[in-house]
Amino acid sequence: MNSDENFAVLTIGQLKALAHPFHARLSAAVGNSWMNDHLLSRGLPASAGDPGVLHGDFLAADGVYYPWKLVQSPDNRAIANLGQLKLCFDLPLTEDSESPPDGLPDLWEYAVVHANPPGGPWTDIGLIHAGNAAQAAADTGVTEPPNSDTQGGGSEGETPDWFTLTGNGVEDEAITETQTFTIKKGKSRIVVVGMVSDEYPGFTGDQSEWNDQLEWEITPSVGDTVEDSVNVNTLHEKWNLATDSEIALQGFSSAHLEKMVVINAPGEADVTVTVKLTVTNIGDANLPSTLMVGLVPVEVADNTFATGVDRFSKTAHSTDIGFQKNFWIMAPAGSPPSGVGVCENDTKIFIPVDESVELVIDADKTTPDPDTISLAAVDDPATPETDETFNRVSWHGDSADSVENVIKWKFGANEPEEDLLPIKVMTMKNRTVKVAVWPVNLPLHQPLFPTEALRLAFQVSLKSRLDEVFAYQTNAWFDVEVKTGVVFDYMDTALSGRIYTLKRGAKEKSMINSYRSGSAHINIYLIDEVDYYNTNPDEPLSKRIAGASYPRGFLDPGPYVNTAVVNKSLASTAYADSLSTISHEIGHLLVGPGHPNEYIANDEDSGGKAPLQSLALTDHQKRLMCSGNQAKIYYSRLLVKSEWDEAEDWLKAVVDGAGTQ
Amino acid sequence: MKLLPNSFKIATYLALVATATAADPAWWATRGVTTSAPASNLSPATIGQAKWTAHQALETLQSILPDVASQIDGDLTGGTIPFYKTDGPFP
Repeated sequence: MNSDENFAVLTIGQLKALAHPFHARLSAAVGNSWMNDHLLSRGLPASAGDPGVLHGDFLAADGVYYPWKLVQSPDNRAIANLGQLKLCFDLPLTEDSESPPDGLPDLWEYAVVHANPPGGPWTDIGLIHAGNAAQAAADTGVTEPPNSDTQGGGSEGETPDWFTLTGNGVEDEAITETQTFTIKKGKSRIVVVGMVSDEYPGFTGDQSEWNDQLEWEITPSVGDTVEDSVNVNTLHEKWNLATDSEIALQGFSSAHLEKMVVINAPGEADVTVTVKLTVTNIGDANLPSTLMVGLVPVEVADNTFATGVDRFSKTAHSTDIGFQKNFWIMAPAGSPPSGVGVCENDTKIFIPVDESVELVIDADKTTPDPDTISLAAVDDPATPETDETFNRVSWHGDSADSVENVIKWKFGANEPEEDLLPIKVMTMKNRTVKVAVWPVNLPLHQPLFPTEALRLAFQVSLKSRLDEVFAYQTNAWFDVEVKTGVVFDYMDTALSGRIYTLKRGAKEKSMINSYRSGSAHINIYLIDEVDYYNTNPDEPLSKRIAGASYPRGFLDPGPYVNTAVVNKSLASTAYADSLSTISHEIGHLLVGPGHPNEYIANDEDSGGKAPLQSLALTDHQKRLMCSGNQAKIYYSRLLVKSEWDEAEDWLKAVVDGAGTQ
Repeated sequence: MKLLPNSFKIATYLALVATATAADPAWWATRGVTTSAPASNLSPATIGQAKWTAHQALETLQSILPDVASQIDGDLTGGTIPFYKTDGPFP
């Protein structure tokens, strides 16, 4: 948006458009009663029959209350004033109305109750994720288009480039033309060589003397040249197949796709592709043949961010640790813990060759649904969620073990071909990770969970958060038990009330020995904020937020493997931060040490398994393992393929194996 | 901006008279949505003010119901920007 527009007046229609999702989404998450009570408190009229219910004029067809009437003639073009703007955003998001305050925003408490109605079981329905696990795994939520963010190296829509040459010269004249195209860094294109001929079908038999010749030479600035030639007589049967399948390209019917090859541009530089075509009209000057070369974008998008697609690693520099040549899709096997449905990963595939061309997917350890999609163009790449031609494919793993799939791709009437596209699928085994959470109450501090309801609410929210991060990306579902608070004299009086961190602190080790679940795969200790020495009392005091001891890379793990200590206050509004921190620390247990944003050359642990340090394309803030102030509470959640592999190793060792408690 | 459902387009706005009946939400002050200047509810609002207010609401909500914040963000951006930018006014 042009910055000058910020000074333009706001219209009623614009205001409603801006405020609408706040009201709709909040009502869905916390229930209508919150919005009803809120709007009544702001002075909007109640219904005639019940002073506790907002007037029906404000109830929209979607069942949501909005701060505007649904009757009377609107004028969305009218200018909105500040009072109207304030009413629409007069939302008590942080208010804590109990007396005395319980430290939890009312909004959050409404969400807990709404997701877990009184009398209902504490199911594995997420606190925040309204919907069952299967539904969530196959989320039909907000879409993420393939080419609109910094993951892909550019925000502009990607459209195919076509170069068409018709050999309409005189007899035996070779017509040659050359064009150059650019593939933007981080992007992939499939080069499609297609052809038609007016000689077909009458004059493409084996003995035809009008045997036009088609030649192509495709030279990328990086990689091998692709060159070949064919005579039209050899293509008679291929054109028969193309005719039967009604395949067209660039407006030409009965088009045969002779050759397809992928060119990837890694994150460091654009790739230029020079295409030289030659078509010769053999034997006469009539019935020309046409050669077409298309550089067609290949994109795989997630329907919801960070739910099992890695289109991130391939946009890094090709020398980066963790770089991938391919898109990666995680195909979850099995069913979610609810037992409802099967685990599926929804994706979108964007390869706009032509609507007449179908792509058939055959994966050896995964069921794609559907397995056949049309490769039509997207009308508007900016809004694929409204574009039916933007192909949605759900992937369900068909293997008892995690495995990278062998996939054959079949374009149109062609034979299936392995590794034709830069898209790989990894089936991941369905697993349940057991986590014991120990709220450690310090003698002079308030209990972390003053009530039983809050302890259970935290348990539900933590499971929800962990499933959202790990189940949707590694098919590892979480069984969380938040223990009843234990009291432990955590402070070390010899250190002026401060303690050492996990590696050296005698107090901490004593606590872990005292409270530890042998049946859990992971033990988490929640500590109300205390000051730490940072491993060595001689070092300057630093406030350490959380730490995890890794199953590997930790010199003397002893009994402390798969343990994390999270030193975060649960007071006020910090619990969301705590959920985020716990998921990050569990991330360390599963994928190892390091933070991608802290990569130091030649220090293999500094950046983790996939530092992908070319930051311009691979935004570290989206990564679960992003550290400290760089991380964002909600959207730092992405796990990339190299991290899936690390998680798989951990899950196999700890969950499938005997475990390492 | 994502298109709104038809039912929404026929909505009409309630001329506002009611903001003084309850205290302002706390996040307005802590996030700089409002200042100590006298209220001027009848002045025209600008697009910049609206974007700033929505951005701050989203930031606030992110620490409480982060999934809902993400959903709203997706609605507002139509999915074209997966996450709202924090380095400037919304979106």
